[in-house]
Amino acid sequence: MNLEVKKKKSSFFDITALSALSKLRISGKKIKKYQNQLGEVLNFIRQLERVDVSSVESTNRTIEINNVFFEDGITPDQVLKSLKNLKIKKIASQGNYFVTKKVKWQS
Amino acid sequence: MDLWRLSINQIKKLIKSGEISPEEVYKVFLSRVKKFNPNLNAFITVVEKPEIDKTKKDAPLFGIPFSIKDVYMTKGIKTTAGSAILKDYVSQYDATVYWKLKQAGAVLIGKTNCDAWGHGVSTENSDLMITKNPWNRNYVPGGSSGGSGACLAKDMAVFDIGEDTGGSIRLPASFCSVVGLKATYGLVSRYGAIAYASSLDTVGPMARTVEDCALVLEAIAGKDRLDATSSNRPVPKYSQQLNKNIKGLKVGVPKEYFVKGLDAEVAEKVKQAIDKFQKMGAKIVKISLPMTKYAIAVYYLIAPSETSSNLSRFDGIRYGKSRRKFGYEAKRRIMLGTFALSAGYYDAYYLKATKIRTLIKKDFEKAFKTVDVIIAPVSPTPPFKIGEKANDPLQMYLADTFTVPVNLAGVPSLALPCGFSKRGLPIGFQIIGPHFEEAKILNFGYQYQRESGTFREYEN
Repeated sequence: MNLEVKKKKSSFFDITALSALSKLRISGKKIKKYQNQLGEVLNFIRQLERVDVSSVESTNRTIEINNVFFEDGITPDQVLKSLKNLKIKKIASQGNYFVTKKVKWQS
Repeated sequence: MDLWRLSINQIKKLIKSGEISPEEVYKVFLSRVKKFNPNLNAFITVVEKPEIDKTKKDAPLFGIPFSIKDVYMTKGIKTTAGSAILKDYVSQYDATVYWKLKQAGAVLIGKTNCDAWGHGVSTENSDLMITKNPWNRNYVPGGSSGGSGACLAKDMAVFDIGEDTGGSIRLPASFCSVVGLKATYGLVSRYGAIAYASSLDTVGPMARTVEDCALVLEAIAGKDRLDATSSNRPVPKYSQQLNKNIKGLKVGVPKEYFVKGLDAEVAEKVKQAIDKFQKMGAKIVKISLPMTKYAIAVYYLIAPSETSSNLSRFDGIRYGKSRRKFGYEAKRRIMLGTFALSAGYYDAYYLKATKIRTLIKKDFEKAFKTVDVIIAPVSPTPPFKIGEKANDPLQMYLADTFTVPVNLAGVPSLALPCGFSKRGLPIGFQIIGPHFEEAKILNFGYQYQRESGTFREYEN
């Protein structure tokens, strides 16, 4: 390991597309600056390509916490009942999903 | 008597005996805030009228003035997260950590400056002001809890609550010559903390001594039904476990933390600290944490990904001002995270980072099968000059090299001072322990401070 980083040519970042996706407004000279800086960071991050993770599980939390519910307790029956109360259109008989009314997005 | 120099137990004793009132204690610390804060910018908000609850006179922290990083909700008081977006936002409820401290009788003196949203290592990314290092005002105090470090270095509060996602408690502790504890993920409730990266964020105490850190930790740790990720393990009395002999215990020294690029003065001071433990009877064992070299890259994929999601709630409608008010660093991290989570890149970047995180965690698990604690530098360098790295985000990110592996693994780490550079700037080291072994690392830290002192020799 070496803490001295040699900078390579920046990777390309489409800042206009990314800023739109991020709901941010970036314009003018700042686009170029972000492009260079994020490109350098991405080049640094690319060292991870060397690591073989083919048989490795991902870690999203570091201590054992699974299916945490409030102390009053939640059972699948209660969940189904509350969904029925919410007038959910259809509760799938198989699979772990339910169907709601279509939500129309008007721009 | 310089009351501001006293520890929690010493102040408690004076209050209990009636020699001094909590109001008088508060006034002493408030006068120091007024004297030093204008030149340091440690505080965003100062509480002029203290809430001293006389019904709590038997509580463990009764009458002790404290500060808190401005990312925690404090009902009726501004909470800005160091950001322009929340500059005028007033908290609607109390964070659990603040509520617990009030129940313990502690008295809030103010809320400290930080890099906006916790994004930074120097407090230069605060949208509101730059905090200066009390040891030399041309230098940064570390970050993101830089206001907290500066506040304690000048004894403007007895203790502080910081927040550590990638080193944000330990780096300011190291740069300001105070003590900071990054607790095990889940030990302290995050309810009411403005989230930076939810799988990494931890709440922890900062103080001038290890003993004070232990006393505060036992007041704030424990299960909270408002935070599903808080642990339901019983909370030990940390302050009563500080006198254990460390003779024969094994201290791991990872070779990956003593490499080319580590400042020679930092290396020397940390090695002196290791020698001190050896003299106290601990066995020094060379170990390897081979995945350390990937930690920064992993961190700067996972943390920005989580922050891009967490900060999406700031839409200018529900809280604060428009997204246009996000600062330069926040925008950089939001875009980096959005990129890593976007279709076509998710597997190659975010998912891969979470898998390498597993390997980093396994490194620590393997090491703790053979050693009791691990000792390492906190930062590769002493504090750097304000503006020195401002235009080079990658160099700025590398200041976190030795702190982020701890957050990715979720283990606890105690940062404490071990000396000064030739320029008189503080240097610190960290004692890392297995999950939920705070008692063990606090004991090691306490033993070290008993032998070496607190490195707080300066004119006030």
